[in-house]
Amino acid sequence: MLLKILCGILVAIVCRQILFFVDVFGIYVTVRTHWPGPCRNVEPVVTGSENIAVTKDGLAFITSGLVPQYRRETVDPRMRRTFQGKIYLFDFNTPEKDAQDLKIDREIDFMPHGISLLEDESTGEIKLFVVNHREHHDTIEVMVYDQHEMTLHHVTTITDPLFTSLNDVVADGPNSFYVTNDGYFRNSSLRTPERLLTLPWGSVLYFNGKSTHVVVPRAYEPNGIAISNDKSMVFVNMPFLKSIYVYKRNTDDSLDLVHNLNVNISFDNVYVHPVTGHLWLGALAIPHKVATAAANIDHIAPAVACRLEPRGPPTDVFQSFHLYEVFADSTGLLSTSSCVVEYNGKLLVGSIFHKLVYCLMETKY
Amino acid sequence: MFLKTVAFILLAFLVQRAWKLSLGFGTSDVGYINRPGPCRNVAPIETGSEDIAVTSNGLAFISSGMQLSDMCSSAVDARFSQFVGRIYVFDFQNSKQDAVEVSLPKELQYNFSPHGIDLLEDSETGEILLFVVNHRKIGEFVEILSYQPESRSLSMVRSVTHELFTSLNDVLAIDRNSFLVSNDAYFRSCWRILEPLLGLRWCNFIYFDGTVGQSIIENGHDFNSVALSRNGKQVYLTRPSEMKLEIYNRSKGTETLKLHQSINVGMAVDNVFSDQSTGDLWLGSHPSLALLTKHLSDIDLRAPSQVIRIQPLGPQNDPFNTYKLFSPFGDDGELVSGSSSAVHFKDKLLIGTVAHKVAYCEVQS
Repeated sequence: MLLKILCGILVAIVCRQILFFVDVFGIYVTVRTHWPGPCRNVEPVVTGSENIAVTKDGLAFITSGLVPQYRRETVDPRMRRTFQGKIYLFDFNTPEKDAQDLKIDREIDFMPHGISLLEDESTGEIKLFVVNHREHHDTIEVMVYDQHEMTLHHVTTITDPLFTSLNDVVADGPNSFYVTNDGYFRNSSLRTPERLLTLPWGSVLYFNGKSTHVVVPRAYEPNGIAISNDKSMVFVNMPFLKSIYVYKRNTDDSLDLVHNLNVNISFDNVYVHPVTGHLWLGALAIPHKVATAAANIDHIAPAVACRLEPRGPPTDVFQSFHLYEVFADSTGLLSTSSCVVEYNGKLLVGSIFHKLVYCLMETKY
Repeated sequence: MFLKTVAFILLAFLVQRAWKLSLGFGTSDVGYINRPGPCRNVAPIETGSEDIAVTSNGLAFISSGMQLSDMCSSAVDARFSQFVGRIYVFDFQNSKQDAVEVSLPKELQYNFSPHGIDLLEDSETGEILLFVVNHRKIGEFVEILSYQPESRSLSMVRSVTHELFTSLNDVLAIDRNSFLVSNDAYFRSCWRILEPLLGLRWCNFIYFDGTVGQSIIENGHDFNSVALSRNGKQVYLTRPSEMKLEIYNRSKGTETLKLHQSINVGMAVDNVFSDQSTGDLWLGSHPSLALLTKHLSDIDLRAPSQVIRIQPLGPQNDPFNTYKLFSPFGDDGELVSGSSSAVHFKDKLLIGTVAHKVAYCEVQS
C-alpha cells in the first residue's frame, strides 16, 4: 500500500517535471523574423558575445569565448578546441569598424561570462568587473581600460568559496558588486539532477569591498543581473521560470523581492538603459534549440531581443509593464541570443557562442 | 476491470484533447509589442473589423460590428447584441482620412452581422462587387452587393443561403454568381463548444456555382479563412486550432481542391490575405486563444495581436515550396485586441480585429 502511494507520488513528480520542462524548453515555440532596421554581423566576432557593458559615450565591452559550462563533455568539440576567452571593444560612434580584441596585461586563465562596468565621473576611468570561469573555480576579475594603449590593465582577482557557479555581475560602487550563482554544482554531472529536479541551489551574493555574503539564499537558475540607475532596485532574470525578479535594495545591501514579472520568455541577460531606465533583454527564445546548438554549433537557436518598459505608478513603476519585441531572427544571422544593448538608436545583440549583431533602429521602439 | 479500462481510455482521450487544444490556446499573459513603423488606430471603428478586402487601387472594405451573440450569447459579452453591423471603406491612398461608413441596402438594415468579406473588380466597367458572409437571425447568408462610389452605398445584387451553410466564416468570390465559402463549425449555438473539445469533424468547405451548392472538402473541424493565389491555381485555407495555413491545388471550373502543403506558423491564425503584387500571404493571428476567449466574454479585457507574413521563395508553379516567416506586427492588445486580419498595400498595413478597433501602420523595415 505504502509502495503504491510512493509510486503514485513519484509518477506525479515526474509528470510535473516533464510538463514544466516541455513548457520551459519552448518545444512548441516558433520565432518569426523581424528587424527594426538594417542589421548585420559585427566582424570578427564568431566565438560568442555573451554579455555587453556600455559606457555613456558608446564604448561597448563584449565578453567572448564562453564554452557552456554545463555538461562540457557534450559541447561541440569545435568550441572546446578553438574558443579562447577574450573581451572585444566595439565603438557605437564608429560602427563601420570591426570589434577589437583587447589585450589584457596579465596572463590569466580566462573564460569570461557576465560583465559590468563603472565610469568614474571625475577621472573618466572605466573599470570592468568580469565573471571568469577558471579551470577549477569562478572569480571576478577587475580591470581598468587604458584608452591610449587600448588594452585592459588587470587590477585584481576576487574569489570566495561562496562563488559556486557564477553567471553575471553588476557593480554598484568602485569596490562592490552583486553576483548571481546560477546553481551549486558548477560543471560536474551532478548539475543535471540539480537542474532537472528544479532544486533552488542558486543564489545572489554581495561583495562589499572586503567580504562576500549571501543576499538571496535560494534561487533556481538565476542568470543575468542588473541594477536600476538610482540603485534602488536590482533585476535578476530567471530564465527557467520565464520571469524577471525585481528586488528592492535596502541600505544594508540586502534585497527584498517585490515583483515577479511573468514575461513568459526565458531572458538571459538584462541591461538597464542609462537614460530611460528601461530593461533591454536578450532572450533564449527556444531553449531546447540552445541545447542542440551547444552540441552542434551549426544548428541555429533563433534570436529574440526585447525592451521592457515599466508602466506602473511612480511609487511602484514595475507593477505593470509593456514588453516590446525589438528584434527577432530565425534566418541564422544570430543564434543563441543572450543580451542586447541600445545606444542612440543603435542595437548590439549578443549571443552565448555565436556571432554579434549590429542594427540601426529605423522603427522607434 | 472493464470499468478501469473504460476510465483509462477516457483519461487518455481527455489528455490527448487537452494537449492538442493547449498548443493553440496559449496561456501567456503577455503580448509582445512590435511595430514595422508608425502605427495608429483608424477612426471611427471601435466595434470590430473582422475581415478586410482591398481593390487594386487601395480601397479597403472592412466588415464591422459582427454580433457574436448569435453564437452562444451566454459565453460572450452582452454588449455584442448592441453591435451594429456595418461596412466601412478606407482609402490607402488617402490614409489620413477616417474610414467612412457605407450605407447598406434596405433588406440588410437591422439584419446585418458581417463576417468574412471578399470583392470582385470588373476590369472593364470598374464595378466593385462585395461578397459578405452575413449571420442573419434566420440563418447563414452570403450577400452579393454592388458598390456605388458616388453615393458610398451598397445595393443588393443577390442573397444566397443553403442548407450546407451551418456556421459560415469566410468567402472567396469566383465570379459574379459563384463563390467558395467555409464553415467553421457545425453548430451555431452553444453546442459548438463540443466540436473542438471532442475533436468532431463536422465542418465542410463549400462551392456554390450560382445554382447548386456542394461540399468540396468534408469532415474538417476548423475551416476559417480562404484566399486565392495570384494565378488562381492555389487556394489558401487557415486552420486556427492547428496553427496552420493549408495550400490546396485548385482545378478551375470544377473547383476541386487537393491538399498540397501545410505550413505550421506556430500561432492560431485567423484570416488570410493574398497580396496580389508580391504573392506574400498576410495573416491576422491570435497569440493566445485563451486570452481571445476572455476578451470575447468581456470586451474590456485585452487580447494580444500578431500579424504573420509568409514570403514564398519557391518556383512559380510551387511558390511555397520554400518560404520565410516574418512577424512584422505584434501588440499587447492596447492598440488592437484580437487581430483577425491584416492586409498589405504598397508598404502599408491595415490590421482588423474581431471586436475592437483597426490599426494602420507604415512599413518601414
